[in-house]
Amino acid sequence: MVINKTVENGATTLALEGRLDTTTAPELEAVTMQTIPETDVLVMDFAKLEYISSAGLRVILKAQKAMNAKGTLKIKNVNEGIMEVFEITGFLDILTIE
Amino acid sequence: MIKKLQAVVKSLTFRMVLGVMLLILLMNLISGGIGYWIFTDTMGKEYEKAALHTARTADVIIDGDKLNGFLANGGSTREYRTQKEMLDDLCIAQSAVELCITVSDPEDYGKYTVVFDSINPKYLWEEGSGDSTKYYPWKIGDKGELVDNDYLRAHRELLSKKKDYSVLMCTDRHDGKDPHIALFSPILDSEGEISAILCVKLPMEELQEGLEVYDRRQKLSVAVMTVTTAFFLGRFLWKKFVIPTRMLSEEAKRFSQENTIGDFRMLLDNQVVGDIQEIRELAESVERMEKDTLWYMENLREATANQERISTELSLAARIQSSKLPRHFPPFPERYEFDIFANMTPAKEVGGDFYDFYMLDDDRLAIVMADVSGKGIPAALFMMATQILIKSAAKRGSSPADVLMKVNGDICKTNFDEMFVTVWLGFLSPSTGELIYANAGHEYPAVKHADGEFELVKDRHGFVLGGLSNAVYRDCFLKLDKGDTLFLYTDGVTEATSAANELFGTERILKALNKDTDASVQEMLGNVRNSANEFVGEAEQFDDMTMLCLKMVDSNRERCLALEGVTIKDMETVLKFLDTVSEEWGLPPKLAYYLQIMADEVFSNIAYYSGSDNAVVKLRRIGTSGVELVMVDNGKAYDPTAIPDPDVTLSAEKRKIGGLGMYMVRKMSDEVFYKREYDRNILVMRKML
Repeated sequence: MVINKTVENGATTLALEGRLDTTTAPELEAVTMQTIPETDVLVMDFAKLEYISSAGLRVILKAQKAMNAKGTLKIKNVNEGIMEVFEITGFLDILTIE
Repeated sequence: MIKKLQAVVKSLTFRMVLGVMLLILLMNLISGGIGYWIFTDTMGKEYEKAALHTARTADVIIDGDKLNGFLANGGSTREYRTQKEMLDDLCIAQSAVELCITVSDPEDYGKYTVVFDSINPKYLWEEGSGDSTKYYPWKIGDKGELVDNDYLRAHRELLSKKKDYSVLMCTDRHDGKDPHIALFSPILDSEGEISAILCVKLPMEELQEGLEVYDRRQKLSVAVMTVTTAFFLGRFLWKKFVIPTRMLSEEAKRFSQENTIGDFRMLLDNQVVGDIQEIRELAESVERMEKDTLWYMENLREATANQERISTELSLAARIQSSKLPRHFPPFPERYEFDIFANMTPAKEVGGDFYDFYMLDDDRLAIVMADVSGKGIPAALFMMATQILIKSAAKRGSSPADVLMKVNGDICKTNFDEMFVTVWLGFLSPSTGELIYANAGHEYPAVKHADGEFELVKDRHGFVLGGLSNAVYRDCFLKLDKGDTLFLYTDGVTEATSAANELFGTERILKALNKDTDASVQEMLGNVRNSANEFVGEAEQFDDMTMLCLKMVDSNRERCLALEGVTIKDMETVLKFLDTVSEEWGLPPKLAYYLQIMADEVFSNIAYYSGSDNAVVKLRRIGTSGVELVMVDNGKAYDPTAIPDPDVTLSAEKRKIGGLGMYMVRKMSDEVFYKREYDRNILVMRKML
């Protein structure tokens, strides 16, 4: 999975490309943990993300909890499949999705 | 301290000595009591005689007719004085205490008037002395009243003429006087009527003194007897019983720790054990017991060592035997044309059933199912020999019938102790599905074609191998199309017996197989085995149960991926496999996506936690509009469906990081269930389109 990090107007965006599954989730975790202290507004761009598994969900949840304390986490460009996953698992209510 | 005291109390010596002492005491008390009583009685009678004698003498002296006269003139006459003097002399002569003559009031015998009262000077009351044991001298005419009940009774008895005289033994000092005997006798007038009552009191000092001496002497003798007996008895018991038994119990203790024969020569010859017969016998018994015990221990050691050796060899034999049967599944993962699974469950540690399969060449799979007569090591040895013979003949031979004839010849030649074996042998060409087979006395196989049901294939079968050297076998033919299934078994399954002595039978096998005609080969075996186990219930497994199932795979309906050495790196392979098959079968993208997610979840668990080294992913079409994803691993038992759902309504703060994976699987599929069979975890997920 490829993670592209951009900073703009005080908001940090992580654009994910590929699959967020058990093997790639640790990568994302490392990056998010590194990024969170740097910013109050974190954005994740799922435009090129094909797929998310429960391992990925865990990382997202962790990030959401952390950002709830100090700012906001937004997720945008979620495809249909991933949106359904969010729906089924109740993550839709927890995350801020654009 | 208390414990020590308790131990002493419980000891033999203490109890015996105490018992004997108490006995001595008791006997002394009894004999003393008897002596005391006899003594008192005899003395009492003597006193009575003396008192009576005095009374009679007094009676002679006193004139009963004159008494009232004396009272009238107040004892002033010379006659009265003379009689009084004689009475006084008599009193002193007889060493009496008092002689008293009273006239009772005719209306109230309790009241009396004194006529005479002689008191021995020794017992005379002196004014001012304060000695209340002495007697006060009454004067003639003094009136008195009886208060003492005994006195009243005595008077009553005399006056009513019930008795000639009355005696009172006053040994206690209740009237304040020294011990004395009081005798009452009537003074009669010339008409024989009672005119007065005479009371003679004699002292009983001697009696009292005598008793006291007796008492003292008795107590002393008891004490001496008790102490002496206690000492000698105690010493005897201690030396002759306690010490030897202690030594023997020490010896027994020592023996139990050291396990060597003790030095009984020394014990017995020594004065320690002594000459008490029972103790000697006890010592000899202990000696004998020690010798016997050592002998038994030696024997037991040998027997146990033997037993262990046999058991080790047996389990070694079982291991060797089981390693000879193909245990690895899937055996030919690259041959996706067919699926095969087999299992043998022996009744004893080593069994006589076996199955086998191997590729003879690129397009021939040999399948063997066999059952040796008998059980245990002999059957196992015979089984292994037969397996090897079949394999080598099959590799060289042309058809199953030929192979069987050849092997039969070999077996009969070497004459395996009248043993025989039933064999079903088949050669399958996976590319065409053509099956040639021959049957030497073995159970009929069950076959299912296409969408039909399992049925027995009842071709005539030849005789068992090893029975007749010239037995003839015949090849039979069968075509297995895609989806067709072959099921082989031994009579351990058909003859599984329930507690009610019923046999499982072929009908029940077919029923179990037909429960799910589309099931995978593993599931087929599982279904039959579960059915048989349920049927047998609590009864013991009597015979080896062996089964083999082969299915021709329709790659349009079924695909299988086998993984060796399962790690998370294999995840890519798994997901790619699912992707490929989904595309080939033209599954809708959403379904394909779900399959990916479900496989991801389940395989992560398998890779990280199960400790498995062999996993299988199977995708199967169900009917026309369903898909089944099965994931099998041989790791430790784990049921993912047992995990409770997470609460998806909680907020971010409260959400737990876990349990999500299986939740997603459950939500995304229509049916999920878990089985554990043949040491494998099987998770089945179904989704209809």
